[in-house]
Amino acid sequence: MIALLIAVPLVFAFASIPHERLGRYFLPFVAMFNLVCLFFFMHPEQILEVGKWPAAYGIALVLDNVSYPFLIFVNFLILMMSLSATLENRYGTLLLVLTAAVNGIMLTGDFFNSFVFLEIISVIAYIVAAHKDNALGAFKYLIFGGIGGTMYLLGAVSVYVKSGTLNMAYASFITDPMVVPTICIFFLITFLVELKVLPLGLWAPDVYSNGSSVTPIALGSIVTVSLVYLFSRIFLNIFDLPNPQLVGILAMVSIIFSELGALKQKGLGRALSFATISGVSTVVAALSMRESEITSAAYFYLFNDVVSKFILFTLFAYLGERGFKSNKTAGIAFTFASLSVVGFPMFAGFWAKYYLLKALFQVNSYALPAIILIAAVIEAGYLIKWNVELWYKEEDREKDREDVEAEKAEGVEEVEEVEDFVPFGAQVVTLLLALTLVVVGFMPGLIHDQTMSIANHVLDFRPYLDLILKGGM
Amino acid sequence: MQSLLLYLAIGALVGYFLSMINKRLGPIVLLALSLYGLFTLWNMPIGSVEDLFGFEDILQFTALSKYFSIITLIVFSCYAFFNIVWISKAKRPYAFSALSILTLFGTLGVFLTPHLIALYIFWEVAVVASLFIVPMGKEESKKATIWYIVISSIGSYMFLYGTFLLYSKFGTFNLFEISGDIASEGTGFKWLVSLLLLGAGVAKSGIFPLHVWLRNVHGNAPDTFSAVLSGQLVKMGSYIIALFLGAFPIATMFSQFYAGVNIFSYVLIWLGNISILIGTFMAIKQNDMKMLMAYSTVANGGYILIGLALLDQVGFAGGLFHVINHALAATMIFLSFAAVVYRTGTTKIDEMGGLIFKMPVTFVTYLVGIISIAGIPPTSGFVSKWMIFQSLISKGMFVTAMFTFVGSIGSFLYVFRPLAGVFLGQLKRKDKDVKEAPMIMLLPMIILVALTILWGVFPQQVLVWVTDVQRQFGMEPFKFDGTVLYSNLGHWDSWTVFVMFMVGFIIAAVIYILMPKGKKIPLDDQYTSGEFLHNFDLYHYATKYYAFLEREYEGHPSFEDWYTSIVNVLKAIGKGVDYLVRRTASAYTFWMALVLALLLWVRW
Repeated sequence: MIALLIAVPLVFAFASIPHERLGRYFLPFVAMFNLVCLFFFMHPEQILEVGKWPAAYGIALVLDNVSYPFLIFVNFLILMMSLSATLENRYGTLLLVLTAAVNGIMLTGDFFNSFVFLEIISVIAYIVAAHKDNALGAFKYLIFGGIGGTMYLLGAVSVYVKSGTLNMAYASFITDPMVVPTICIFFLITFLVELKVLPLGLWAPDVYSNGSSVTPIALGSIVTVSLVYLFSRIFLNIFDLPNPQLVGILAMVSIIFSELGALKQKGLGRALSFATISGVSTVVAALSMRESEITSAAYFYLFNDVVSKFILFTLFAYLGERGFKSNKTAGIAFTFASLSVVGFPMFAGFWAKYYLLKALFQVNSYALPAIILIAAVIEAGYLIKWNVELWYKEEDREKDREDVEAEKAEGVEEVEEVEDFVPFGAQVVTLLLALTLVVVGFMPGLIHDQTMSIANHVLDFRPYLDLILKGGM
Repeated sequence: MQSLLLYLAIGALVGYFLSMINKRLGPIVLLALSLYGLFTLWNMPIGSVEDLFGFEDILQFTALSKYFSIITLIVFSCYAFFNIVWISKAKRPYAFSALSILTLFGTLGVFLTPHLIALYIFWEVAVVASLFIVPMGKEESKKATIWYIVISSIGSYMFLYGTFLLYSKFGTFNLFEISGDIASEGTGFKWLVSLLLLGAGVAKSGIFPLHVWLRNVHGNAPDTFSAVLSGQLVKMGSYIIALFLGAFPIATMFSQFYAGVNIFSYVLIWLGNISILIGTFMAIKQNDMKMLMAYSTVANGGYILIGLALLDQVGFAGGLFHVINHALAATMIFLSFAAVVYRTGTTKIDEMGGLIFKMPVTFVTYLVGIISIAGIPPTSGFVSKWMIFQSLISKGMFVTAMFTFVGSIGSFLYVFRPLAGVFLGQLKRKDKDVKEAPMIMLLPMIILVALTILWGVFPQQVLVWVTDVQRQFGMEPFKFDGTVLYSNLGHWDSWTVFVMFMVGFIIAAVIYILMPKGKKIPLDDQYTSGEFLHNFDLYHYATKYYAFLEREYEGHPSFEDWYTSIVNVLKAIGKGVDYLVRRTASAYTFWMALVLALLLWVRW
């Protein structure tokens, strides 16, 4: 049954190949189908042994209490994106494949299988990154991602060589503890690349700032969430994070430097891209602590960051820096999202910071909170600057429009979307997500209960092992 | 309290939509809510405890809450009243009204809760709401907003960090529960927590070294909102300072340092001294009347801080009393400025003059305001300064006393500049047809004038509130009997002084009436002896008014510049990161990954 989450998107992806335009229309239905399946027909915990091979020998797909909420969230994001993004012909098909791959990577309990899905995600990601003629950015990503992918493969191979199995649960059970740290370092490099922790996340700003309504959301929200899942699965659940202190420090440095990078930017797109790096780095820094409350807070933080950045990037894609004068709804969504990112009360972001700081202080960790708050000051500075500028942009806009028209008259083709037009779908989606942030801001329990349950399950290896190996080999 | 906060939260929405029907309805909603709040909180017994939205016992009505809420609501009532007419000049009237109500919601919330996280939430609501009003002002106000949010965030995140530090030690967010146990902690912890928590107060009340935002924000915000910023929002900072200094056993937490003052208070007093000095000297320099008053707010924040940090019978009461004085005076002055701008359209002192003939009531409001700021009897401003001086001198803190005296004398100088430049002197040709502000604008100003003089002559009501606060914090309350105020060094009877002033005033009036009248000549003739002038501005004596003083400290260091250069350094680092992003490709990412892998492997 759970294989449907992978199979259905894949089938529709193939079905859309003859008629390129179809993919775009399939995508929302497929995402909807996945959500319906997840809500009504699939419940944790269940396991599917592909080809009836017992778990330790064959590939096993696992739906447990950790992957279940992640799957719902990711498919929800895909549904939202399918409604808000402008998908040119081929992108529908690509995103269907991406859907299959992210669902796959969250379901699989097999190292090599997860490598395959990771590579599928990467390939799609490179193409998506090249959206809006952003070839250079995509090329950078390709190089970084290539190294990351290789490292992951090396890790998977080492696991196989050392333990004779690719099954995650079983491998962790029988792999020689001496070699585990080394293996984990291979995996870790992949994650540092894919989760954009500086310096390995240097590819991100160029990719995300291309002004597309697809790239930053597909990569920054959807892929990032699924990889945070895999990160937690491997480093919190199966193996130990190698050298967590250094990872923490690296992430903290990444937070500060990416905020400084954002501070310097003159363009909104790049500023947001740097802000995304900082957001995910915070999550990585928090996860590296391996403590249940902190982990839960990290997921809450991820939720807020991903939803807010979804709104910000979508509106940036449609409006650019042209202001909210004729787009009040979009403006309100944008402001809510940026206030939530900074962590002002009444928005989800406040509770994300609140839970994170509280949990960190409980384990007497004082450096990360300080870093987070310093980053928040910088973030507040530039995000509010952008808000004020876009809200109070009146006279300049007329001039801009004239410039654009003049350029058009001269035959410069690069400038698109002269109209301040946000498609209806995108307006509804951003407003809906902004309201979600407000609702969660008033009722943080909605998300916190979920993240707490994920955190408790992810830090407890036993149930996962029992589920897969059914109590023994 | 809960219902009041609820009404305000709903009122923000209602105000927004009613404004759409008629702009004037927004301020009217705010006025109604403020008056309702004033009525309820005035009559509320001290010590009431209530739940808030299902959280138990979050709201606690202390004497300090009462005092600050009443100040806030007086300021907001006058502001709302004034806005009923002024709103027609607002750039975005709907949002302006709604955000004003939300600001009131936030600040009242801050005053009503001892729960540190709830306090932080309300605090940020007030900041965010006011934040989006500021850029509705002049062109530079957008930049001012950034100053505001950054400095404010520095303060509030310091507060948040301190709050969580306390939580990790004591497991509660309730300030009063924590204050009982804090004295036994280590010295480093006590210093850190106290400094962090007071950081928010220092940033908000414009104390050195976080004073730089006031000039930009107060100077460029919408005209009437400057009154709230300076008269009320800044007082949120004073509240935090008063709350922590009062609730924490500061005297036993830190060792005695000088003249019975503990080392922590002493540090604060010095911050106050520097604020007074900077505020005063910078105010003297300003040609923009709103920026001038912004620096005056810095100086007065210094007075309040010194008074509060003295933590004794007379000084603490004086500091608290100064809060209400400065709130009233700043509101009066900024409202009178708003009225002037409403009619003339400029805030530059040297572009105005002689408005006393055209706007007499506005002039009187300004006059009483500055008399109170300068601390001259019979206004209430004198009473609080007298109390602070008494306390300083009785402790023998002469250096600080000197700073406060310099500040007082300086305040005569700077308040005189708008007086002379805007209201006195020659009337500009372009202002020939200026009329007095409309009646609705004048009323709140008149009420404020009346309150200032009333509390200057009969300070009992305020002193009751102040001594209630002192009693609740376990301090010896300030001694007074009717209009007679007692300190260690003597006493002061404001009624006697008022009578003396009135007698003098009557004598002067009699002389004025009996003596022959002066001859009226055209104003220009006084400057030119009847010569024909090509450029009147050069002869406007508000141009370079205090040039002789400014010369003395021309090359002074500017903190605004320092902070800007810090930001530039940060941006330069950011540029470095960005350079890497733009350049990165190929080979050395591989090496980077390898180095990283090695680092991780050797378990550094």
